[in-house]
Amino acid sequence: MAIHRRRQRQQAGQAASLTDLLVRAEATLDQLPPLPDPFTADAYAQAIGALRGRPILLLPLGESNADLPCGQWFALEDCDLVCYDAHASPLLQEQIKLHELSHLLCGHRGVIDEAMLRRVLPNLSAGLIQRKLRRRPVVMGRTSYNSGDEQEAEMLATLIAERAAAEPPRADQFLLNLTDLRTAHRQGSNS
Amino acid sequence: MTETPEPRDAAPPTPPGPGATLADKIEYLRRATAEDPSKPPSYEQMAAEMNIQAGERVISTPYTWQLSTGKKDNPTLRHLSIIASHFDVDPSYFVNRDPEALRAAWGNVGGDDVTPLRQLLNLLAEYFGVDAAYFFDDEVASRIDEELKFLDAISSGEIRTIALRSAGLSSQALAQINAQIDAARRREGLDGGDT
Repeated sequence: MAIHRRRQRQQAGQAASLTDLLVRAEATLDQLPPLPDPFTADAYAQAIGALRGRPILLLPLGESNADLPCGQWFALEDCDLVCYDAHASPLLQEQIKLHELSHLLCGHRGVIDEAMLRRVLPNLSAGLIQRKLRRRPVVMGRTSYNSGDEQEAEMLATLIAERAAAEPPRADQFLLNLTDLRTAHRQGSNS
Repeated sequence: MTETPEPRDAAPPTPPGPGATLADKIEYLRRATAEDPSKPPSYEQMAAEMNIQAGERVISTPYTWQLSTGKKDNPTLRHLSIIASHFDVDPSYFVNRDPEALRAAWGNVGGDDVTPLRQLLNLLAEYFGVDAAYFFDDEVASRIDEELKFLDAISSGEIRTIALRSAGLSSQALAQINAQIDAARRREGLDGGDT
């Protein structure tokens, strides 16, 4: 029984944190300038870049990763580089761009750690990576991959797409379903 | 934003490109794999570390110098340039060998030179932290060159932070990102960083 109750609490906790994320994403978006009309992720990236005083470059990568949402954000010295899969469908490309832009809008700090570098640099030894990282001790001390950031970015991206579209976004392009979440939120506050 | 290290003193080392000799590749790796590329390890340090790594004395300082510079004759070093008995070949054996010759010898299973060659390339590869194929396979070498450039940009703070939603990056993707880092470095150089 105790285990069962704990699991229920965990599930409730997760649902609550998602609705919290939704509320927070709505607040974030309300503080930002209106979305460009007609809306494209490229036009939005340009507007956000102007707002932040740092240009955002959108770079299509010659990757081919089928249906997986693959995207990357690299903060360089004088600009932000948002990469997306050039072979993804146009709709998925928009979703990838919005997700990576949302990292910027949420003020995320990103992650550079040894585990991530070993995925990106599989042909370099762990010793070599550690030696080169010695010049960035702050990076070494950072906690690793932050799944909370990913969820927050996906939430904001989904919300932007929803507000930008005349019709609600196709649920299968996003990992989150805002309609279900709002229903859960309402039910949660009624009970 | 992420705290970044002090600005670099010089441009990052340039990979020697396809078809480079063993000496050119070693010289590049000596800088590119150093914690600070402007302070590469001395040949003495290299030899000492490779001998520790091998657990026995397999390579001398003068021979490490020969391999790295491609020079066979140095009057001050000639009398010292004894390749360690471990490799059991003529001192000039590996010096200035091009990738084709290395590849042929590497694949020449049963040939007389296979064992010392493999031992030497494995020793160097382990020391630098890359695959031994770096020394004779252009495709492997160009992928590793891109990885080293990317790692240098991390180390120097030119990449401040990353959010990555993918299992990894293809060689082509890595080259595209490195090109953007190069472009940002050129802009910083031109503007004096006042943008």
